[in-house]
This record gives sequence, C-alpha cells and structure tokens, in this order.
Amino acid sequence: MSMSTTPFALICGDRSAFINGPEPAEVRIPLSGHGQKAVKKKAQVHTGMLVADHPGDKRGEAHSSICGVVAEVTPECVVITAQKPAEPAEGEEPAKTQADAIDLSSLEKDGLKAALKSLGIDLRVFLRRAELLIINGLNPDPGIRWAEALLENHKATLEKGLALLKVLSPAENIILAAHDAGISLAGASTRAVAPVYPNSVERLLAAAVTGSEQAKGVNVIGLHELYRLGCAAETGLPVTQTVMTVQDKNYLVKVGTTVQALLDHAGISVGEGDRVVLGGPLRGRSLSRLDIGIGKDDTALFVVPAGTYPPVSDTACINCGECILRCPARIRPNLLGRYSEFRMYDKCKDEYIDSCVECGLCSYWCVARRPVLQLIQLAKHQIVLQEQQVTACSLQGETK
Amino acid sequence: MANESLAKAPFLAVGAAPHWHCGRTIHGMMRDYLIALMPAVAMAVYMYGLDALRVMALSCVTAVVIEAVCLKAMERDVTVDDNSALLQGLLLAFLLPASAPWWLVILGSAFTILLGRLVFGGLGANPVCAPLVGWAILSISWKLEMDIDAAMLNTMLVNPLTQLKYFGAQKVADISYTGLLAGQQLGALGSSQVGALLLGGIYLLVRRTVRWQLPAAFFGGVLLISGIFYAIDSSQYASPLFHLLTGSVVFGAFFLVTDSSSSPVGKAAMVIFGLLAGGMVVTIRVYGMYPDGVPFAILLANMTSPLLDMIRPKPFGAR
Repeated sequence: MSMSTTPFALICGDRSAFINGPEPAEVRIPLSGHGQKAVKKKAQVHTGMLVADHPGDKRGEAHSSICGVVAEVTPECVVITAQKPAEPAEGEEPAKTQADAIDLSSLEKDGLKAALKSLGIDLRVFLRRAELLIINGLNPDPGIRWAEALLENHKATLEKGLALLKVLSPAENIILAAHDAGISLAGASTRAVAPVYPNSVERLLAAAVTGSEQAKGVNVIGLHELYRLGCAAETGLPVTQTVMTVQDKNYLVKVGTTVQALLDHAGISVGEGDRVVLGGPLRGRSLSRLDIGIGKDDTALFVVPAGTYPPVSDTACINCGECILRCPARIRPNLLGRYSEFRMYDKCKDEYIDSCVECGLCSYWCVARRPVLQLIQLAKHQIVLQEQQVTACSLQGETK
Repeated sequence: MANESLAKAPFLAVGAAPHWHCGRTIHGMMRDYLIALMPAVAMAVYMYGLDALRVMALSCVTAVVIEAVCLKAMERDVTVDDNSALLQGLLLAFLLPASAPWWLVILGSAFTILLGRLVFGGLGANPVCAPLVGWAILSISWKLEMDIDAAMLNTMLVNPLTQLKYFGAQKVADISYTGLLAGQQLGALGSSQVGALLLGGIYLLVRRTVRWQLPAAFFGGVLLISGIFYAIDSSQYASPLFHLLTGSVVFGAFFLVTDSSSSPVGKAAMVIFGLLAGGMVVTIRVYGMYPDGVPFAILLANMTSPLLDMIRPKPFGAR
C-alpha cells in the first residue's frame, strides 16, 4: 500500500520561509462580478487602492497590488502598469504609495464584516451557518506544500485570523485538523488526521473529525483562507498577495501577477502541449493561456510537461473496477461515468451520485484513461438543471 | 497585439482535473500479462516442440485478425493495438493440446473473440472469461481432438489428472511435485507449465496488475475442499498439493480468475468468488466427468459475479 499512497502525501516537511514573488511590470487584477467603475483608464493607483467594488455584501472588493497606472479595465480584470509615483513638487505632499490601515480589533460583527469586505476578504465561507468549525490544517492537494510552513512560521497570524473568525462565525466549537496532534492554535482544539489525500477533501475531513458521515452544521475552512483573514487582521491593509506553491517551492505572490511572470520568476519554462495547472494537481484547473492574473484565493501553480501521462481517451470502460476500489466515497464511478455518457441522469441518482466528493481519484487510477470525474461532474450539473426546471414548472403551475 | 502574444505563447494542453495520473494504461496492463506468460511460452515450446509454437501463433494471429475485421465492420475504432485480443488468443492456446489441428485452433480463437467478447461489446464487456468460452465450445463439440490424452499419443508425459480419475489416488500418491512444477505432466500446452506460470503470476502480483485476493482465494478454495476430501480418506482422494500443481489451477488462478470484467470487484466479493471457483475445481475433479475442472469451474463462478457485485459497502453519507 505504501507504494501507491506516496504520491498522495499531504505533508512534505518544508518549513522554509516563503520566497518573494516577482515585482511585476504589469498586474491583471482578476474580477468576478465586480463593478468596473471604481477606477478609470490612465488613473494613478497605489498599493492597496480600491480598483473595483463588489455589489455583493459578502464579497471582497478588488485592490491594486502595485503602484502604477490603470492601462485597461475589462469585465475580467483591471490591468495596471507599474510606475513609480512622480517626485512631489516643492511644498506638495508626496503621492500615496500605500493604503491606510484599518484597526479591526474594536469592531463589532456588522462593522467587522463591512471592514473586511473593504479589505478584499470574501466573507461567504466564514459566515456559513454552522455549529462546528473545522480548520483544514492539511495541504488541500498533494503537491501543495505551504500548510506546515503556515502552521509553524505564521502561527501568530493564523491565531489573529481565528480571533476574527470567532466574531464572524456562528459556530461555537473550533477544531484544527492537522497532521500532528502536537500542532496547536490558540482558540481551537487539535485533532490529528492522517495527512494523506483525499483526507483533505472537505466532506471527508468533516467525517473524519466528527466521526459521522451525516454530520450537519459543520463548516470547513482552509488554512489559506484563515491566513488571508489573519493577514488582514494583523496589518489592517487590503489583501494584495497570496501564498502559492509554484512547482516545488512556496512563494508570496502579488495578486494580479500574470502566470507567465510567475513562471519566469520561478525559472520554469513552458513548452508546446504542456499543462499549466492553477490550483492543486488533483482538483485544480488547467489554463489555456499564461496572461491570466493570479487571484487572492489561488493556492498553487504547476506545470505538467507534455507526455508525462498517457492522454485522456474516449475508450469504453473496461470494467477493471479500479475506481470502485479507490473511491473514498464507496460509490461506483465506472457506472456513474457510463450513465452520464448516455445521459441516464436518473440512474446516476440511484447510484448515489450525491455521495461523490469529487476528489478525482477515479480518473487518477483509470487505466482506460476515461475522464471519470468530469463525467460525474457533468451529470451532477445536469441533475441540478433538471431540478431547477422542475421547480420552475411547479411554480408556474401554482400561479395559474 | 493579441496576435503577437499568441504567436509567442506555446499552445497549452487543457483538460479536466485531475491533472495527475497513475500512468497505468490498458496497453501496459496487457503488456504485463504477456510478459508474465513468456516463461510458460518458452516452457511450452521446450516441452512440446514447434507444435506448441504453431498453435500459439495461429491462435494469436486469428484472434487479432478477427477482432480487427469485426471492429472495422462494426464501424468502431480498431483498437487491436492494445494487445488485448492478442492476449486472449494466447490464453486460449494455453488451454489447447499441442497437437490441435489448425482448424480447431482457428475456430477456438474465433469463438473466443466473437462469442467471448465482441457480441457483448468488446474488451471489458465480457460477462465470462472469453478464452473459456472458446475452450468450452471446442471441448463440447470436438471431444476427441480436445481430449489431451487421446490427442497426445506421441509423448512420454503422463496426465496425472486422468491417472487420478481412472486409477485412483494410490497411483499418483508418490508423484514428484518438483516434476509437476517443472512441467513434467501431460496437459494443455501452456497451462501445464506450472512452475513457469507461477513465476509469471508472482510478476503480476508484484506489478499489481492482478489483485492478490483473487488468486489467493482461488488457491484457498482448491486447498480447502481438497483438504476436506483428503482428511476424510487420504487413500481415496489425492492430496491438496497435488490438486494445486496439476492441470490448469495455477494458470486459472493468475490469468483466468483475474479477468477483471468477469470477476467481482469488492474485496469480500473477490474472496467469495475465488473460494467458489477453487472449490468447484475440486468438486468437478472428484465428482464430474472432466479430469481437470478448472475451465468449467471458472465459467460457473463467472456466472455468480453479478450477484457477488451486489455485496457492496454503504456509500459515503448514505442512510
């Protein structure tokens, strides 16, 4: 067993300090549903300055991560070209290079929410209704390696985040799930969890910590999110950087740095047919282009060179049963994949598609190289669409 | 400007998560099986001469050609390069006597591919082990040609299983087990190379191409039932080790029982399946009309595999 689980280790013993990412000549601050009227083209911006606000009251605003000039504003991003602020003329105040810090310590819940939103923190995950809060102290995917360093070198920041979390979250209990029971955070009790993927997958982690697969009222929060909250608490400044594993090192990357710039900085070259993965190797997404700006919730960047793995194929399932034996949710991905292929979504429900935790191990082990997880995700999506249609129809029926 | 950046940037491969893979492929799996069969192929040629090579080559070629032609006719992708048809052809040849006439080999191989798997949808869709379908049709339709003892008269080797059947356990009581391992027994050309097959089986286990539960439970079933008979009357029934090392037991354990689409998947189901098939082998040998019960025992056990697949754990979070 040891041979097959090694690639899934979620700890690596790397506790070295984070390397500073590139000083980008251009940043592309990614937007998702933000308004685009906060800054105009050619506007002078400084680090931490608001560039786009979000209409949602639980969604964070977007800020510039460098000093510069807005080059372009699109629905996807705000492009900023780095530029040193002009020397102040005689008797004039020097131009601002840094946003003013906000003191969060004295704020009540509602004030705190507004303040954190203005610092660019996405509050949705923290505010979920729950009685138990689990801090996922494991690296989310194998290959990602910042968890140990965060827990060891940035404990104080995490604890500041945890203090804010206690104000924000309705949960009464907080448990840190970590690879070692000896690791502690003030304000949380520690539970040891085997640091092997897929234990870091939220639903599986919740089951491991609570001992129940049907546990309700559990909210799992990643270390990355907690650290972001902690940084905001510590500095009172907007979030303008993110911790990322780039291939085999951890970097502190300015938000909006392009993938290309980050790869160049890390000395990684990308060739024809390579896969560039933003996020973990098992659950991340592959990119089609390199001029995409890093977001504040991006956790990792990997390059999988062309030819490393056999190509995905549309071969029929050969019923080897490997996915069934590997599935942590104890379902039959082979059947689900086929039902999905033939659009038999009702059958998917009968085969417990809701139990799937989307860890991706079925596709990882498939010898026929079928995109099993993708097929399951497609079926899930179709089922949601069908259910929405049914609800819409029944609502229509009621109004008549 | 957009075009300039396009020209410079490499074309990236995109795909759905996960972006890692274990690296195992159908092709690699078949290659492992073929490598595992090589010692037995060499032993078969050593024991039975070029006749064995003739049967194996004919069976393999027929299987590959039939598969390719049929896939083409069905307007499906011709995937014979995954070597699975080649493997099925070789497995069938292992069950034939070295003296099998050419038409018998071609028929058997054709039945293996056509009725064994293509009618069900090809690789991985077969409800029972495909080479056994070919073998069963041949041994029921052409009894004389398939009777190892009748067909192989020009050899000094004796078939321990027919000796057991017709002359009793005393006759085989002092048989040399190392001789059996070395292939000193008359049998089907490949499946009687017990030692070589054992070597291949260990290779498959080490490579994790087969799951250990299936061969282990199959051996367990053979040993258990033959042990019970042996304990009842050791003068009337042969020893468990004799049953293990004769006929196609070792071949069946590693290459037929482990056929993934015709065997169940769950761990408990695999053990029950193996025990059932193994127990059936001895039962057929003791009570049945066939000296070597392995092929029919596995065929029968295959029938239970959909039933055994109903033994499954409760899905995550299901009530």
